[in-house]
Amino acid sequence: MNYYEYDVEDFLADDYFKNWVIFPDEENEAFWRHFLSEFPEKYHTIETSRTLVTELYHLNEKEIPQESSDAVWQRIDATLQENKRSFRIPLWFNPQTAAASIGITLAVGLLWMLYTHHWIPPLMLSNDSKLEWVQIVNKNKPGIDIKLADGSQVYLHQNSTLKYPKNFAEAPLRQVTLEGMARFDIHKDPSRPFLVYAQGLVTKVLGTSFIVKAPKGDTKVTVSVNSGKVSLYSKREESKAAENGIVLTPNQQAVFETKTTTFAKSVVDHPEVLDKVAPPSFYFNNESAVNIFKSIEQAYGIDILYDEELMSRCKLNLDISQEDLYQKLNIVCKVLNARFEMIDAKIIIYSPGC
Amino acid sequence: MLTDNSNMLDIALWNAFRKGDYHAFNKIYERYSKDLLSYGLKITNDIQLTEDSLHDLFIDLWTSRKNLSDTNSIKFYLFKALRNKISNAKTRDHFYQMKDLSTETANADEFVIETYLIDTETQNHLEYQLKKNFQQLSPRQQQALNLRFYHHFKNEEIAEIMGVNYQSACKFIYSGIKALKEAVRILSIFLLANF
Repeated sequence: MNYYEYDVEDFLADDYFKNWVIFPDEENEAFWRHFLSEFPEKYHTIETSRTLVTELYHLNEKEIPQESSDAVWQRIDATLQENKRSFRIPLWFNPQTAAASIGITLAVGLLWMLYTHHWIPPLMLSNDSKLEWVQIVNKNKPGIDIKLADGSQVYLHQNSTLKYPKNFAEAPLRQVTLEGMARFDIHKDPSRPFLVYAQGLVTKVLGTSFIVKAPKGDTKVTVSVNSGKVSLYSKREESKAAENGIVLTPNQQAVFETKTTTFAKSVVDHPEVLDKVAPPSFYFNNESAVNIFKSIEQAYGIDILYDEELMSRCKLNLDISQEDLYQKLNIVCKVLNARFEMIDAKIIIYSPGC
Repeated sequence: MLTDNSNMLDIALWNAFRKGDYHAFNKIYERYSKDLLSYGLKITNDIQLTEDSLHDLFIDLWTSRKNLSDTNSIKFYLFKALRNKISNAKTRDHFYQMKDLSTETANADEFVIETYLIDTETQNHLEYQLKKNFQQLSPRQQQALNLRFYHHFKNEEIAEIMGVNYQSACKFIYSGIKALKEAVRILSIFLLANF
């Protein structure tokens, strides 16, 4: 670093200089005194820079009254206490709260009425005959809240039935069966996976949080994930779950065909960035297409495949902060004269290069 | 600036908070709420919006605490998140215009009232001159300088907080300083000569 050639703006842009003015200590004090004794002609430049740093600090001083800070805290505290008291039903209706949810939210719906003959009796699930099963049938209400022994919450929709063990305490797995549609908010317990049996499909929780939902009125069961990891496999192939099952990560969904017991994996309709509290920046200035794709990949947790060599030569100026994933890809592709396809929950970019 | 000690306290607080320690959560709020409010006011000039965004930010933090990752700088993380909250709120409501994104110049506020004629002392004159020139900078330049010289962020962090790339952030700072420099250089030399 050649401080001798520095002008005022260079000194102000220098962290070491700025720290000396605002947080002087023995070390930096000695350094700058030595510098001045060696180059006394820099005195005026240094003094002007010092004055500017000090003045800029005071200029921006904006004293916030303690009351203002206290008032906001009281609001925060009140909101959180309120939330603790009442179980928040619409957890996954609001994508932001749902994503922020500590627990695990799971919604499974299936066409029980049409497929009763395919139903596998719940007792087959566990050899542990000591388990006492509880059955709850919801015929009339739009939805009811059920609290399981492990702390998990279930919101059971109308015309649905949930069977679960009264006490999971001794069981190595937490297993429930569902007919109809329900949303689950599962208490995290890595040593004991939580399994939902529905319509021949087994949904197993692996990680911290996930969302699964399946629409009613279809021969398919759809499971989609917002955050965390979920594994799916067919009940018929439980012994070969590792080979024939699939794992879903955030922003992925799978459609399970109940008759053929096959899966089709894809990206969810409305992918969201993984870190919703502090989403990454999508402002690019003369950035290579490779880095742009990497940013998008990371932000959404979705693989993007492209020719790295071809793309590294493309430089773009873009601000795509407000757009959703598909709009982002459309814009980037338009600029690159490229197109994209979604295959197996991956994005593939076809481009002639730059 | 964060000393090593303060940084270690930050990390300890952050980890305790992520494990569900409400007291640590409150301590984090106490440490940074004023800075955050001050920063929010700089970019919006709207106290209600700033307070609402701060409230929402801390609600989000608490509800998603288990999914948060390690951080080396809580302050940086919070600034970035607050700016996001505010900018999202403004996107939702088209009545709002992001101050640092719009072309309108910053409000001519109390600085103008300060009469230059009364301030005969050179120090005050310098302050006055600087304030006047500062107000003439673009909102983004002002914000970048505020983050650098008041909140003491590094240029990389400023870029990320403001949602721009590194070169742009440096440019805001560098061009801002350059504009302030000339007016001040003459005065400061005069000031120094007085001592």
